[in-house]
Amino acid sequence: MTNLAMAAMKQRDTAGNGMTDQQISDRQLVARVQKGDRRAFDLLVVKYQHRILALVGRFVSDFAEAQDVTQEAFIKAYRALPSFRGDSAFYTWMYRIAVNTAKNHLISRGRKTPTNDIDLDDAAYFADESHMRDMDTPDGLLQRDQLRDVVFAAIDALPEELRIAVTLREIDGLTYEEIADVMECPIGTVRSRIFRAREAIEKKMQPLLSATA
Amino acid sequence: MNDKMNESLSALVDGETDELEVRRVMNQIDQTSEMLQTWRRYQLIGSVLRNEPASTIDLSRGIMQALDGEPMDDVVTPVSTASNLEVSASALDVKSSRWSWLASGAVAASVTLAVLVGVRATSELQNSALNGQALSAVMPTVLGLDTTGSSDAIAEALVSVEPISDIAIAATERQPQADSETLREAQNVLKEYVLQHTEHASLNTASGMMPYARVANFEQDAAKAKGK
Repeated sequence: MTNLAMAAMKQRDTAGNGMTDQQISDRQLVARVQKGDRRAFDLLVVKYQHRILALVGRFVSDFAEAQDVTQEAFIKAYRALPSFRGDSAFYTWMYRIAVNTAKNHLISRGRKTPTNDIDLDDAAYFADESHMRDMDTPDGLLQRDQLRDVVFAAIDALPEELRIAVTLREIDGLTYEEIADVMECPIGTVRSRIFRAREAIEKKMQPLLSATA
Repeated sequence: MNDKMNESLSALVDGETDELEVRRVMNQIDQTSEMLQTWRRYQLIGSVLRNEPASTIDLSRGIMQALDGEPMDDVVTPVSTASNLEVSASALDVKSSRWSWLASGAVAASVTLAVLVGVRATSELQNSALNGQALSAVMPTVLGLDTTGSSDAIAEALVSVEPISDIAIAATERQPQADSETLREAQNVLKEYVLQHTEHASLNTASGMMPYARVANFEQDAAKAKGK
């Protein structure tokens, strides 16, 4: 992620109430989970599992253990969701649970916990890729590289307006409004372009995902 | 319709949906699992583009399986499943009342057991004490002992008079109408009383052990006396 995106994610307050659009969206999903909608929690897990896994990987070096700890953290979060009042963003809250779960795991194994906590922003947006890459299995690495090649090839094949829209969103982390400003088009058009870009990339991914499933 | 819904899903990935749209998407996800798969793929695209580590790993299935059947604490009951949750809540109530009933039953049972054991122990102590008293009332007259002595002294005397059997036999000889079997029973009972009292005395006093010690001595002494 670029510094531009980092700054954008840290400082953006599009809703004017201290929350980003992502946080509002998360809050809507959390509210649904609190009403008993388990599917909404599934969406949150899918959304944040890789960030949380990367965060846990900073504490727990073994890849299989890191996955177990990540799973445990999400289960704890689910159990504790009724007490989540939304004073902080869901990811911030989830981050704390994951860090505590990872530390408790280390203590239970008689290992030392890191003296310094990982900065939340760093953990969220600058996952230690090289560290996690070392942890991943050879098959996982191969699959990941193949997937990466397919996705970037699909991006290159996209019409320019779709490619710019989706990269500004996914890589630079801009909001629809900001992308609309950059591309000088309505927000609805940005929304449509990003969707069409995703559809096109997804079609290219399908054979690989079907083969590995 | 499907494209429209997928576009809404795409907007939800980016957090660019209003509450009504979230509701529509969630309703659609409830109806078809394909929407959830699409959500996974959209998230995967972002994960790969952002070069997030281990992006091919999917922990969500394992997590959701682990959560299957697990109720959330204090979850607000949704209207659509209110009756189901009420049923499960009442089932939980029944379970908790059963547990509390079992717990109270266990406490009551243990208290009853403790009382019974206590009463039995007390009655045994009383019995042995009464036996001792009865013997102390009877035996001195038989043995010609001083009744002002302590129970230990009496027990000592009783044990030291190991030829109690002899005395009893002598007594039975003075009562020719009693048959020998009855006399033997009486003799055994008397021995038991003496032993019970001695055991009781040995448990409660340090010097209580002495009568036992003296039994062996007495036997030796008696043998010597007979020899003389």
